[in-house]
Order: sequence, then C-alpha cells, then structure tokens
Amino acid sequence: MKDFFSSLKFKILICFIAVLAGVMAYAAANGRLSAAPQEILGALAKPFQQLTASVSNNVEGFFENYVKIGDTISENERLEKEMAEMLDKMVDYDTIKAENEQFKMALEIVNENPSYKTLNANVIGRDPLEKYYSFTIDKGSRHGVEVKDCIIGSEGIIGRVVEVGATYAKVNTILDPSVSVGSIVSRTRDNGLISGDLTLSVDKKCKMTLLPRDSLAISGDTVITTGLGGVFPKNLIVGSIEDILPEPSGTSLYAVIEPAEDIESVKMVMIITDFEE
Amino acid sequence: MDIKERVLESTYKHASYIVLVWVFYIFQTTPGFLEINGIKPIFIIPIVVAIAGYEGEFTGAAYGMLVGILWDLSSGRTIGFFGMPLTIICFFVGILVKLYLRATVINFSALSVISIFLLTSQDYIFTYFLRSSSGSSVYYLRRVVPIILYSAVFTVLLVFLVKKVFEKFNKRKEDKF
Repeated sequence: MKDFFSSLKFKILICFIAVLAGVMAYAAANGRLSAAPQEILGALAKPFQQLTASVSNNVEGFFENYVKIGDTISENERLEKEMAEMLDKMVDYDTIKAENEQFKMALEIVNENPSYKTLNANVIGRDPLEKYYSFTIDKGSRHGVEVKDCIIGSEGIIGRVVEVGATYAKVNTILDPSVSVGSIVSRTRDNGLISGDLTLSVDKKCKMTLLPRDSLAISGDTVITTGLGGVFPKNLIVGSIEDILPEPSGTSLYAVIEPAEDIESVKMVMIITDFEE
Repeated sequence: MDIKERVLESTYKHASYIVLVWVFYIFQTTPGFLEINGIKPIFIIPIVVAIAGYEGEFTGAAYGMLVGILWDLSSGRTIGFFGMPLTIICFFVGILVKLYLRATVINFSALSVISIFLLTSQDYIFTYFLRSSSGSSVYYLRRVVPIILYSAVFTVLLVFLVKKVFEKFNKRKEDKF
C-alpha cells in the first residue's frame, strides 16, 4: 500500500486533482473561468446537437406514448377516428405548423414593433441537470446575439441569454430565480416583479412578487412585461395568474404565474437582439 | 505482439471509449430525447464508471476528470464541480474492483447508480439546497429522485457497451499472444 501511494501515477493524479481544485476555486471566485473551453466545446458539439435535436423533434412524443400505453389504449377508439383524418395530412405537418406559427408570430411582432430586430433559433441542447430548464440555442455572437438578449416563443417570453459563443448561446428561463422581469397585470395595471421559485419551478411555474395588498387581480388575469430594466421590451405576454397569496412578511401579495410558453419542451424560439425602449 | 501493435490497439480502444462517451453525451443533451415530463436520463456516468472498473484506477480517474469537465461545461456549472468528484469516484471504483469486487456488469451497474446518486445529490445540495429558503425537499423528491431512477434504467445497457469494447480489444490481445 505504501508503494501504491508513493507511485508516480498516484502523485500525478494528486497533482491533477490539486490543479482542478485550484481552477475550481479561481472560477468560483471570478465567475466563470474563461469562455475559451466553452467556445471550443460548443463549436464541437453544435453540429451533433443540431442533428440529434432534429431527429428527436421528429420522433417527439413516441417514447412518452409508449410509457403511457395504458392511457393510450383507453383512448384508442376515440383517437382512431382522428387518426384517419390525420393520416391524410403530411407526416411533418406538426413541424411545418410550428414553424409557420413561429414565422407568423415573428412577422406580427416585427410589424407591430418596427424597432425590434429579431432572429429565429432552434433549441439544440438541454442537459438533465440544467438549472430551471435552461437550454442552448443554435445562434451566437456570429449572428448578432449578445448576453441579456430577450428570448420569446410563439406564446410569450421564455428567458434571456446568459452566455454567448460564436455559434451558440445559453438561455436562462423565467423559472430561474436569477432572472427578474418587470411586469404588470394587464387588466388591473398592478405592477410586480416576475422571478423564479425553486418549488414552483418543479411544476414549470414562476411567481410575481411585490403585488400591492389592495390588488384586484384575480386568477386568469394576463401578465405582461413593463419594459422597465431594458432587457425585455414592454407588452410581451408572460403568462396568466393561477393563484394569489400573501407574502410571508404580510406587506404585499404574490401571484403564482403559469407561463404562456411551454418552457420545458420549447423547440423553436425568437431572439430580440435590439429594440427601442 | 510488438510495441507498435500494442500502442495501435490501445489507441483504437481509447478512441472507441471516447466515441462512446461523445455519442452518449450528445444524446444526453439532446432536447426531448427520451424525456418524460421534463426528466432526462444521465448516460455519461455509467460509461465512465464502467471504463474505470475495466481499465483500472488511474485510467479511470483520467476519464472521470475529462468527462466531468465536459459535463461542467455543458451544464453551466463551475469548472471542476462535477470534474473533481467524478475523478475521485472513478479512482475509487478502480481500487474497489482491484481489491474487492468482480468485474461484472451487475457490479458496475450498481456502482454507476450509486455514483449518479452521489453526483446528483451533490448538485442538489450546492445548487439548490444551500441557496433556497424553502421547498428544496420537494425539488429533490420530484426532480432529482426521478432523474436517478430513470438513469438507473439505462445503466446495464451502457455498462454492457463498455464491456463489449473492452472485451473486443482485450480478446484481440490474448489471441495474438
């Protein structure tokens, strides 16, 4: 055993671990270490991720249907009728429809807001342990994407860019407590702040804090962005109020928000790279 | 078998391991791939644990470090967050197999599940538990535990793939002797 610990290989291993610990301590103290390793990995992984993401999109739902076979059988009779109609349509109908909606939405938003500069992007990476459903998209600094750019889907806002490589960008979602969005209840004009919450994120929901105690907002009301802070343009849909509860301090209320966009499974997004405040 | 042939065999073997790790890393990060209600399996830990078991503590530790750093970069964690524990885990897996355990698919699968449990729990503690005032146990039970269980389903297959690579090249070596 003594020989083992005094062997050259063991000493080299200890040196590597010590270097790694040093790098980790440095990175923890200074934010991220450097963009270089991330850039290289991103550039290497992107073509493969694009390929597998495209395949995965086409077979989306297959595995889930297989696991939920019990439910599928019980619904079989009802679905048979619908299936007959669906078979007449193109196999990639859903993909085309989603793309079409995306472009339509982009066109509408650009028409309504000529100051917006937008880009469409595909989601190409989601790690099982990604924090709060964050993800990677296939557009980066080469396409004009910058940190803090706003990410939206066909239904509402999704999050913001936190890291940019040449051909990819990482996005933190509004389910993340580190993302804050100035917002307003559309009907009552009550101001608040959208941010993530650990417990609510499990159900893909977020919260709107700092609502006044005399707020008349009710469940079902739509929440939109105020544009304050300069990251998100104003009047973009965030989601709808599901419940309103008092803050533990008792000084204000908070609302549980169901995001308009399905953040967990979004495949295509739009990046707003520039807009007039 | 001369030295040149041995080096070539060894290069092919490690190239195969790297391809295996890379392919399953891409699968692991592909949106929607084998995803159920937002839960996705972790593939790279069983592969690297099995490599450590078959190849020994030092080679295993090297793979553990590389794969850990790769995972740090893809999951947005600080460099070394997964890299360091995975290096240590793979080192001890190599030692365990050398001293106490037989090199079987079942043993490596069990070690893989334990490793997944340790790494995901470490991630939960440092990323969520220590930063959250409430609700972190709900997150652990409804998100981390399903990830561990779902990943466990694939461990036997992944360990088996590593075993096939290992046997293919070691058999060649034995045949040539």
